[in-house]
Amino acid sequence: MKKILALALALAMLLMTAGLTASAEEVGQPMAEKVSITMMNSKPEITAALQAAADLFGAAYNVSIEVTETSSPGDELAKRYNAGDAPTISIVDIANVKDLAREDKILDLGDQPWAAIGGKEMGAVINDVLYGMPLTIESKALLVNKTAVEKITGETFDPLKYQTKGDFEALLQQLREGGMENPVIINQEDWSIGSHFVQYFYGIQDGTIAGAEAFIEKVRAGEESFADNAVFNACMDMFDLYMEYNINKQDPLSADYDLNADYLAEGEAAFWINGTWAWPNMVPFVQDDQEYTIMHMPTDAGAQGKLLAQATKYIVVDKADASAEAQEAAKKFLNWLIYTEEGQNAMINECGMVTAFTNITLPPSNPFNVGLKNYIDAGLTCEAVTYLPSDHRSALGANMQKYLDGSETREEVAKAFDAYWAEHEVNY
Amino acid sequence: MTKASSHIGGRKVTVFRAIKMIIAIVMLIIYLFPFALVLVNSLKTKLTIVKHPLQLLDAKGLQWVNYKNAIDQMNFGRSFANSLFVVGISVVLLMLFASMAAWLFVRTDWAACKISFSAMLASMIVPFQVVMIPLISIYGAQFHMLNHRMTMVFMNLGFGVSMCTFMCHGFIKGNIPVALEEAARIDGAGYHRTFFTIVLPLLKPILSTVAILEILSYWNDYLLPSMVFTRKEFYTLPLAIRTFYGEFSSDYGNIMAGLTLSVAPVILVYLLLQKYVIGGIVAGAVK
Amino acid sequence: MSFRKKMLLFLSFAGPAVFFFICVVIIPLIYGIYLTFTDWNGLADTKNFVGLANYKETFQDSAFWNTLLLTTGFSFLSVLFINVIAFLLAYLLTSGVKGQNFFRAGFFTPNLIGGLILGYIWQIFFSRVLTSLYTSIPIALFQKSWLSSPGTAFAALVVVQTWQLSGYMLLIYISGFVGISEDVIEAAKIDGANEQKTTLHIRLPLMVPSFVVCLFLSLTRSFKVYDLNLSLTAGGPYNSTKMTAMHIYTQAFENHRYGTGQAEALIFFIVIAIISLTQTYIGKKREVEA
Repeated sequence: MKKILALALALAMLLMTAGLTASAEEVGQPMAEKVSITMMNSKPEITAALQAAADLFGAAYNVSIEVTETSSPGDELAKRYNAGDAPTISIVDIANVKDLAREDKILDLGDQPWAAIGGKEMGAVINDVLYGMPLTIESKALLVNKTAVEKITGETFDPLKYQTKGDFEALLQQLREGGMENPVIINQEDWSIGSHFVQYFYGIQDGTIAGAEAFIEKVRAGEESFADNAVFNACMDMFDLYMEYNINKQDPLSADYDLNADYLAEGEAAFWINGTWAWPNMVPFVQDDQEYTIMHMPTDAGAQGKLLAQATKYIVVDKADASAEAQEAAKKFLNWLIYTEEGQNAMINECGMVTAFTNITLPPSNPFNVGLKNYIDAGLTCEAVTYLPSDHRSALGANMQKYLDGSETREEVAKAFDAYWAEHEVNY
Repeated sequence: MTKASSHIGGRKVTVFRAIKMIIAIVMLIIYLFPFALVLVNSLKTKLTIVKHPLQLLDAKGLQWVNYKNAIDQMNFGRSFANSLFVVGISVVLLMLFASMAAWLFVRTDWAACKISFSAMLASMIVPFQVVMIPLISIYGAQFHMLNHRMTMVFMNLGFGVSMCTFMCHGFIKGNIPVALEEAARIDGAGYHRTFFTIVLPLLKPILSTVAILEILSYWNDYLLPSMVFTRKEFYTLPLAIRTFYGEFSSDYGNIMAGLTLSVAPVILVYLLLQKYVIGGIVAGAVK
Repeated sequence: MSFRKKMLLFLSFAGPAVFFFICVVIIPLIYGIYLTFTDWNGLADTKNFVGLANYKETFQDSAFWNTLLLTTGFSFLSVLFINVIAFLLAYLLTSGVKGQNFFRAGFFTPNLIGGLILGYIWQIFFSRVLTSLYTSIPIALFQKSWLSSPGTAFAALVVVQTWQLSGYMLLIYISGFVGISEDVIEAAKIDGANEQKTTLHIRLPLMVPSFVVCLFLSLTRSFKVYDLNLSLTAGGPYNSTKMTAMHIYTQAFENHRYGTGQAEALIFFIVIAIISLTQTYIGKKREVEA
């Protein structure tokens, strides 16, 4: 028996190594001489896992990668590029990719093998050039405590049952009557309500980027205004509904992000207007006996039943300060992440990413990501915005905060959006 | 060293003292409160910090693990050594250079001195943002001086010298009699000997104060070191503590443990120097 | 003294200080001023000369002038509270309170917490501690978080700035008090002055240099406030507490108007210079009179 087991084990090992060498073809040979490169990570939650992955890769391919982190990639990049010390690899937002691409600071990654397996489709493509590898897909969604809902309704929670405002309002009503006084959690941060929520205005116009851009163009031409737009009004109706059931409604602008995570985790409330990236923030509070998932925003107009989801955080490779060897090592690392078992494991299980690459079959690692994967597999996602100018938030973020605490009306919010677009171009 | 003690105790004095004591205690509580919050919460889990920030103890017991995390993940020994190196050299050189310059600025009326001093005064008003990018463009992209500890010392000196000179200037002008120096001069001492044997010892109180203030600002400085040091091996404590900050939320327990560990030495230095601030004036009391 | 000897003396005494100062502050400052005349965006390799366009834009940027007004108000209030409190505390702590060494160490602690954690701690205080007081002391001030409406959020900034900087200025005032020669005090006492009179007529005038230093430092630091602004309110609620330094930072790095940001920073510098140098000039005159 033991012998057979040992044999089977040896065989399995052999197969695994064979599998590894086969899949590592895209990565190529280790570097002839040791190369040291740097990596800037703007997703601080994954720095440790990323560094561990980089070390694993580095040991095999004769590369030393030092991962540093920042939570404001824009100014960090400005500093590093001006210092002539640009990070070889950077994990950044779409706005940063645009800035760097415009100044011709980063590599065209179109020739990389992964471009064909989802990399170009979901990557950061500017003027038809692929500059950024998509690191993860994220969704702006309602995070749900499934157990808490089911305990009151007594039936299995199926997000797709709630398509319109009326459907969802009935559910909230039922929860309130069942003892959950305020089932909804709204953040107060401007990035959340002032930047993420407002993307519904564009994203679900008809669920396509073209539709969103067409809407903006009409506003710019003065043919359409936010106040008269059905989708804008439907979104604001939903926001009104959320506000009515907001657990923080006594003092909405004092909402605390960590407390919000705790409300959802413990089932004090059932829906958190946030996104799939919030799982690491939930971890300290999650209860073993509760199930969590995500859902789309119900709406009476525009693309119904669709989840706003897109690749966020892209990996770019520097060409301003990086040597040819450094660039090669960087590309190798990206291929290693996508094509090797260890790399995939690091990305999906250790870092908790939802990958855009079709060759990766590992299931997502946390409940929010599982929920997102369900929507993706069902084809129920629509692309969120990559076309907004970088000062969209600083110019308009405050308006939704004012709306939330009652110091601005819907008409005033609509006017502010009209005025902003009169002075800005799409895809600046 | 107490002055009021020369009073003969009376009822009025006792009441007055009691009132003073009460005010001092109340103010102390207000001043200590935030730091006490840091200390208390440094031994709690994130769950308890977020839900019950005022609760003294975590139901799960004291979370010494926060301190362990802080030491491990911040690479505490290395970061501490980096901070110590940079701050130590910066402050010693700063005190020396600034006091020398200040003395010359007080004792002469040369145009060069006047211009230098005015420029330094004015520079204290310059918002850091104005020089931030130019600074790293010049010393990073042109001279490739980033990621050296001495570069940090160099910049600390440049940014700190104005305030330090300014404070020494005021002190020398008000508290060091020229007569003393003239006496030394008559005995044949040169400028350098006069400064080092007569003036410098008298500067102890102001230099201790300046040292404390500068140690504080260098020790806690984040922005400038974050631009100079982009490699982890050079990280100072405030840079290392960033490991615990997240994009949306942070590991508060670890941060507070890290903060407590990193400021402990500063408290020690303060207690040590505090004696000098007072002791110096008694020893150097000019008759 | 010969010119050569003067120069040698200058170089050996002030040389190092002036050298570092010029390298680190003056040269980058000049380069920074040059950038205000270009259209540079903070990243590009090319910088085109655009004349005074950035200054024109600065004068049209109403948000900038609003933040400047707000910052001036903030600085005025902060400076007032910081110095009154720090001075009184310093007096208290040098006038023979029992255990003064212990007290001084205690009042020193505000200096120890910096950066983002400072903001978090005070957020807990204003959003949670104060609101929990409401159950026992039901006054309107404690009903809502201070950080959720513009007026109280502004007040919160002033409170924290005062708390932090008064701990700092306290050190300077203490060294000022201790620096007053015992002889002078004794002489006054022999002449029959009581405690109050000694304080009013002897100590206070001798403290003028400390006042000048503290006012200058607290004023410039309050004007330049950035860390606290970012970590406590992040300019919120709805940008109502955004101070000038933060506005400039946004302009330069978020809106990619580096030249404009830099020009605004320069105007900002001139404003602070006028205010603080006037104040110092008046103070110095007093010093001479005293």
